[in-house]
Amino acid sequence: MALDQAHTRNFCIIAHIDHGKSTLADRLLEHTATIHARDMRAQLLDSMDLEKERGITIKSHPIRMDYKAADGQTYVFHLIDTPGHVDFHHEVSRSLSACEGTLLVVDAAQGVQAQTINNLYLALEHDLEIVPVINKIDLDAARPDEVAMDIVDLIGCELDDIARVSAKTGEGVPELMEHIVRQIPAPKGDGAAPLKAVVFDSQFDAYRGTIAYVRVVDGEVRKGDIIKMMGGGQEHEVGETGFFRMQQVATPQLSAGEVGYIATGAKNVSAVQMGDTITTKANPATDPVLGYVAAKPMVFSGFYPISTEDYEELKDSLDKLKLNDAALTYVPETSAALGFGYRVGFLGLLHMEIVQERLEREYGLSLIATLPNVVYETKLTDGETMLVENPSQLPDPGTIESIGEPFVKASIITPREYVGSVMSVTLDRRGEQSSMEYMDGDRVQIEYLMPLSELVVDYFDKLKSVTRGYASLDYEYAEYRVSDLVRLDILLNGEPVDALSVIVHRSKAYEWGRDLADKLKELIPRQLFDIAVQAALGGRIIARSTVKALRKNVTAKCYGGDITRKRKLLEKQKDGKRRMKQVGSVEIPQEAFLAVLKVER
Amino acid sequence: MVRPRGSDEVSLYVHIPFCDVRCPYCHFYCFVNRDAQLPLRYVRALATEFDAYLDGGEFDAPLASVYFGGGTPSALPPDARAVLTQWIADSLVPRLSPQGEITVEVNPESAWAETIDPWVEAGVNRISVGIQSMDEETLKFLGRLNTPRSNLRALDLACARVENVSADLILGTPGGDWGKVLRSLEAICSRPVQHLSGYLLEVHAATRFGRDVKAGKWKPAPDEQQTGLYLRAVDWLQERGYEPYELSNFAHPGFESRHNARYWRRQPYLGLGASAHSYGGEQRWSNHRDAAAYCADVEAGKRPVDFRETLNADQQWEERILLGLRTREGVPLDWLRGREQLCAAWAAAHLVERNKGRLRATPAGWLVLDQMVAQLVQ
Ligand SMILES: Nc1nc2c(ncn2[C@@H]2O[C@H](COP(=O)(O)OP(=O)(O)O)[C@@H](O)[C@H]2O)c(=O)[nH]1
Ligand code: SF4
Ligand SMILES: [Mg+2]
Repeated sequence: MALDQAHTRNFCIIAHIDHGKSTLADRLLEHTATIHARDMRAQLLDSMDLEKERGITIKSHPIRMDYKAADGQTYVFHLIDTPGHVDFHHEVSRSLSACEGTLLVVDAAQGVQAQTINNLYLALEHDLEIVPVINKIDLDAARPDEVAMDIVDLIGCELDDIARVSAKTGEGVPELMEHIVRQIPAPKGDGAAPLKAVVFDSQFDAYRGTIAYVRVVDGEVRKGDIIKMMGGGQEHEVGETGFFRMQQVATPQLSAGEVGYIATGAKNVSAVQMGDTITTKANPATDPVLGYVAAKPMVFSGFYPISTEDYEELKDSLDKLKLNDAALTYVPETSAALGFGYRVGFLGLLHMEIVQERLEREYGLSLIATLPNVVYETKLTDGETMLVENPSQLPDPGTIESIGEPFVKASIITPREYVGSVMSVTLDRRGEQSSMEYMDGDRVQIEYLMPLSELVVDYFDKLKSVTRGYASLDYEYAEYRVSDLVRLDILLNGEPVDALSVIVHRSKAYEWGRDLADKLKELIPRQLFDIAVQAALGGRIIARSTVKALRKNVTAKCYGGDITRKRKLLEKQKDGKRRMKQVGSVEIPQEAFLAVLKVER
Repeated sequence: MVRPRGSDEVSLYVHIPFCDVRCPYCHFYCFVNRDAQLPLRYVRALATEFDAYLDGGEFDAPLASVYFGGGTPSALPPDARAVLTQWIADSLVPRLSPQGEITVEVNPESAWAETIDPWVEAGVNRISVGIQSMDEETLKFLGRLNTPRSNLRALDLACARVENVSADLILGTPGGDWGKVLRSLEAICSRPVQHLSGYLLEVHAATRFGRDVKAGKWKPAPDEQQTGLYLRAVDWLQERGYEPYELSNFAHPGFESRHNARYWRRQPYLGLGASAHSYGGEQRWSNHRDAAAYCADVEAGKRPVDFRETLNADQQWEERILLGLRTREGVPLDWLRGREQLCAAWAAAHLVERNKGRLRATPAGWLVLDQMVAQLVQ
């Protein structure tokens, strides 16, 4: 039976991180009895271990609920909980394209934050109807009236359109349900038209192949249909269709206005690109729903197994992760220092951390990750342009005309008293202020154009620390710009270690060189001979330090033939070395490759 | 069976756990005994344990060496000493191979003619004297009962009784500067001592020194100072004909300890007594670290063994490297295939040297041997 569109509401939840999306989703599930009270756990939709542990949402989580409204009618709600971190903007954007409306959740104590605004703009770009929700009204520090005024200013809505809830106590949730029915438009797809379903996510299943998470815009789809990816061109036979409860529930068909899944049988997730539109081979639609844009990795890092034998395993593990993480890219690379590894591309630092942690925890790999870097657009004197994803591959300075690097538009909201500090840390990272606006009472929104490379290192931590945690940050890619960049090399005992090279702005090269040489001196343990640590700029040494040789490490006595004890001691020492990489004759601990991140600036 | 391929002799280590005082740096299994019956029971148990190995047919090879260590063998009470002496004469000497070496460790304060003479008569031909230092202050710090005077008296006595005398020395105590070390070396070498063991002081957590250092009562001498002393001592001894044939052992040519060499070369040995370790080719095993429990087991006809391991090929190779590099002989280069780059770097830093197809550590290399070995067997 086709979906009754008039009684359907498709929406997602967007918010600044920690404003309560996941908790609110829990309440909606509970209120609609989608989940029994006895099965209730916190942050129910966050299913990955990492999501639960860190309290962040990484993947979009769709779910279908049945709501009996005050008008006596039963409505189908399709809710999509979206990730709350800038790295996963893309994911949010795709989820929005599956909806007619969105709940914009704002913390009643913290008020509007950087991501609130950016997410709002994103929602407006998708022509979504906004249902503003002030959450956490139970908090002592809540100031819902002030926050409501801000929201009115921001969106231009009526005060009455704003729902006030506590996702913790459930207060206001029944009223919110009515807001949803009232304010979010019903889908208006054409059930008789050719199939058009937009893919907003996918998941790999060993038995059913790639499962596309879709919003059907027009037409319908059922088991056995031959579907076609309008962007990618691949064809698949539908093995199953269904919708989402806590588990996937198979249904004979999906029809216009519905959110659900299509099992495509594809053995390779790249055969079902997110953002692509699915139609049928027999009766194809003419235009896709979205202009398709692939998620582009913004930062790159070299991943190397500590023990060279793990190289194949690293590849297999990346392949497996890739099945559920289309934004992940990787190509083999070789480092003179580290051997065989992969240059892995990520959406941002959080994404990188997550992938690294999963490789280490779920796949048991011991890895060295090199300092993350951005992609440099290098114009050569012969007119060619070269994209450099690895600092050690930057060509000879003599052949370079100019180097471009990605800049982002960063927006920061901070209490007024910290404006000075924010400006100084941002200026220090080559940020150019483009606007500054005073918001309610005592807060300021500042926008900067700044190099992504400066932002990825540790800008957010620094920002948080100078504003005692009050500043919020969001950013989006803006453009490539030419900068005066140079490569800083690190030499250990006179040998350059390619994996330690970084590309930095010329004005900072000396400072970085000094800090790095000092930091490496701390991080590299004493070894059997002095180790000269040098930082070099185009072959010229600009800073140096020395790791003094270890003088004594021996068990003098080997008494009464107790060799077992000696061997056990040796085992311990070997364990300690397991997290070290032998580069030439020098042993470098894993952390040293991220030394730059630890440089106090 | 303690008669693996390629070896036709075994050695015997005999542990005597009794001491007159517990030295604050010592982490061996030893104690100040308060049970008047125990020493006699104990030496009888040693003989029984030995017989059990013989009766079990587990060993029938001649004895390359016997070593009475401790603890303090010279601290045994007279009755126990007499039984021990008899056992040496009756059971051990007849099995000793022609070049066989029998060593007894003594401490100066209990090294008297009445202790030593019966042993020598029974067949003991090597005496190791626990001198540790010739400096009054250092001896006090080390909590020893011997003095510079008793040291010399004991050395003279030992040298008068056997040709092969060894002295133990501890280096690197706080405040133990080169002047004091030199005085000790000179005093020892003024006597016809053929062999010296020189150890850098190690502070183990489970000793009184370990607790003192943890509590901040004193600080170990800085590494640079300790290593400086060691290297100077090596030079000094070498100039006087004492060759460093292992990282802590120095001898006039021909007086290297046969017994210790068997540990380093992984030749089989039986350990008798509480806490004693044995090695039989692929297996290592050891006895209880409790003299009373040891006696009870042996008296009840049980094996007093409480640990046993079989070494796999990797472990055997690791042992060969780890023990071989302790010696002046070093190890054959082809045991280290694939590690040429490391070895070359260490050679450049004068930590190792290549010699007739073998790799050996220099004295500076010995000081960081644990680190080198860990890197080699990685
Ligand atoms: N006091 C209070 N705390 C809340 C409320 N809603 C969420 N929280 C807490 O705020 C934190 C962030 O919530 P979460 O749902 O994970 O936010 P998300 O990052 O937007 O998904 C968690 O510790 C929640 O328990 C609320 O209404 N009142
Ligand atoms: S005499 Fe020897 S065995 Fe006994 S406590 Fe002192 S150092 Fe240890
Ligand atoms: Mg969440």
